[in-house]
Amino acid sequence: MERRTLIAILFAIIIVYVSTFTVLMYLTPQYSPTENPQQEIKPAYNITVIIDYGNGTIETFTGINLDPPNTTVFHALLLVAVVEYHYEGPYVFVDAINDVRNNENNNNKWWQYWVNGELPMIAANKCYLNSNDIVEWRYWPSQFSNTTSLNKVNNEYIN
Amino acid sequence: MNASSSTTKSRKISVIAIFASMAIASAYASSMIPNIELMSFMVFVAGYTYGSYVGTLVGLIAMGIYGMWNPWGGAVPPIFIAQVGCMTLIGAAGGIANKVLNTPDSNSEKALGAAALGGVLTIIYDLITNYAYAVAFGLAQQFVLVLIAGAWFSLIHVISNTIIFGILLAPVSRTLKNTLGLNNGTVRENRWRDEH
Repeated sequence: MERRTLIAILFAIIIVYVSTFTVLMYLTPQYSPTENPQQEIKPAYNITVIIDYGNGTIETFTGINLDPPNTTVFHALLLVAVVEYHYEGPYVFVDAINDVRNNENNNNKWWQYWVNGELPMIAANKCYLNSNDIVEWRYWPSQFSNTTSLNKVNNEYIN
Repeated sequence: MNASSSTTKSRKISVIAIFASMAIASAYASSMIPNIELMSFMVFVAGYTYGSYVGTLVGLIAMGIYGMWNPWGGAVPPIFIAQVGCMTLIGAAGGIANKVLNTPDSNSEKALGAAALGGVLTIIYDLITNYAYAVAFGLAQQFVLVLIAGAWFSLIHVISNTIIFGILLAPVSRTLKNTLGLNNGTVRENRWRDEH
């Protein structure tokens, strides 16, 4: 195969990949980082936020009411705790809750959240809540280094 | 083993160590910039400049170390294996790319070739590591959704590597060859050093 043809094919692969996923991001807003004005964002009332510091201390906040468009997990957290965060692209990344930081002193514990016992696959500022949802922020060992124990913990928590 | 081949082997080991160090250092240096990384480029350059064998080993060592010790925590086994496997593949691809791209043709065509290779290798890397992520967290059935959820990051990764490979490959490999004095495992004596 001629080199120019090969280069053209490689570029075609890149263009197809980039175009496909750009379109898919817009077609599936619940999984994409882009805001979708067509998505109906409802008020979220009676939200419960639990903050588990991983050392036996657990704080529970109930009866939180959120009005559109600020009805995400992140907005609920901002109402009940002092939060340090930064943005990675359009995603918010929580660095610390009430001065408890991710990976403090290399303890490999990170803030992660669950909604109704399930681990959402999206950033906290993209996860919209429904009324009566229960959000749990846990300061747990990173999923990326301790999957087995975390799954065990999750199963116990959910069950 | 004669003295010459022993010297060549020692130099090759040194080159592998130097490239692996540079790859890890570049990964740490760019770790705070989301999804823009220089490790795959450094591993590719190792293969491109000194052959697939060196590139493969550099990829193995660099990602083996960085995958375990990085600012975000060590990776779970499926992701770790995917990362290391992909990085060795990138190193090997660098050696093969040398044979395809390193011809007396125009520099712009070489740069385009490097950019295209960088982009496609990054796509392969992202697809494989995302699949490993899906497997690790029991989401293999929802692999497409995992890809879409990570699409924003992947697009930045692919586009940035396409640009980095295209712009930097020729000057960096040329500079490293001149500085380290080796070419595809062949010793090139440093005359100036020998004479002074």
